[in-house]
Amino acid sequence: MPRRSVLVLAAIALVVTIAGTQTWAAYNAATGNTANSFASGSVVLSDNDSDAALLTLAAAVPGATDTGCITVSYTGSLAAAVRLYGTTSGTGLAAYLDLKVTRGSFSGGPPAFDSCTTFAPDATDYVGSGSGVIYNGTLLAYPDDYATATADPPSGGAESWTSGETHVYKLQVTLQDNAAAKSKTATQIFTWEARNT
Amino acid sequence: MTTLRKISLTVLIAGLVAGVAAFGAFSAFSATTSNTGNSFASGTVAIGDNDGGSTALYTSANNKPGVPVVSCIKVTYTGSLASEVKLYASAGITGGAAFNLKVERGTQSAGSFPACGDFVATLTAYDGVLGAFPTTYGAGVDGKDAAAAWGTNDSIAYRFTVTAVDNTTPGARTAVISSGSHDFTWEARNT
Repeated sequence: MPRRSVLVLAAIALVVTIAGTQTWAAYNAATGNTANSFASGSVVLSDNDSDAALLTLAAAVPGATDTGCITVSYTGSLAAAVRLYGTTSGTGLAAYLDLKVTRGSFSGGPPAFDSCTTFAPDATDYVGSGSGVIYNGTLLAYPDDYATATADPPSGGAESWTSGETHVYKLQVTLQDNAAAKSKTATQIFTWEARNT
Repeated sequence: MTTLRKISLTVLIAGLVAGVAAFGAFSAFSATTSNTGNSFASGTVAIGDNDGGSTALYTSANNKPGVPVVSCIKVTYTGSLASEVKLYASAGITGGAAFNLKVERGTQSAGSFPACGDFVATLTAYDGVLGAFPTTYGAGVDGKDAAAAWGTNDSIAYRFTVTAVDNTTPGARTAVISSGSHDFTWEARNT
């Protein structure tokens, strides 16, 4: 009966295939170490300026001054140190602009940016220029990069900023009484940079 | 042939065969010899470690660059067959580029898991980002230097050093990056 022979051949082929698979198998065993995890911390520094300028002097005359306050907040998970520096551009007015930066806090509820109402300086005289002052010099001499930046604060050991910490900085710029300052401009970016410690 | 006659013939033939067999049993001397005690047993492949079953090498949060987390684990082979062992991680590690993993092979006789005690490194098995660590046996890291075979009671200690990759770009780490939970497996296959 031809149909029966074909069936037998098919059955044999199937058996051979299974045997072949088993020939290639090997013993194996495993040991494991489970549930490892590793996470980096974060460094987050922000301010309340909504990208608006803190200081503006337009068509200024000698003695003209402007003052603004900015709140800097830290929300990173790692402790961090903060430094202040900036980037200056323009046509040379920076040499004739005096800048004073004072560190402090708001004694009451925070006013709208960039008001300094209720600003209270730190009690410490950091650089010998009065309570809370951390920089007192020309805008030109203000540090330009992180490496040369002013530590926060510049004396008595840098503050270790932790999440939720805020400080207020009062910046005052005044045009010197110097004829050489005539018809010049200056533009400044102030930077607070936090790096984990 | 009727059905009755067919049955009768079958009975007759069966009776004849029985008769011959009965006759044969009485017709010759016999002797036998035997070989006894033969046996066949498969070999074993078995491997273990000293982590107590469920303790991780590291569960570390809020890490920063330059502060490595260092742990050691000792793996011992107890199978009877020579095997090749590979180390690999589970799939699904997240943020793997933000972490560096260094795995060194070595010896260790003192210090209990996950401490490294008197660990002495021989060769570095892997040094790269966690996210690029192999996740299959085929691509796995050699259990021994030069993928040498493991014999019964061979032990290798491994030192894991994990660090957060430095990134000084402002704003690069304003969010926490987590690797997620992941496992390491040493798998032995007989050679």
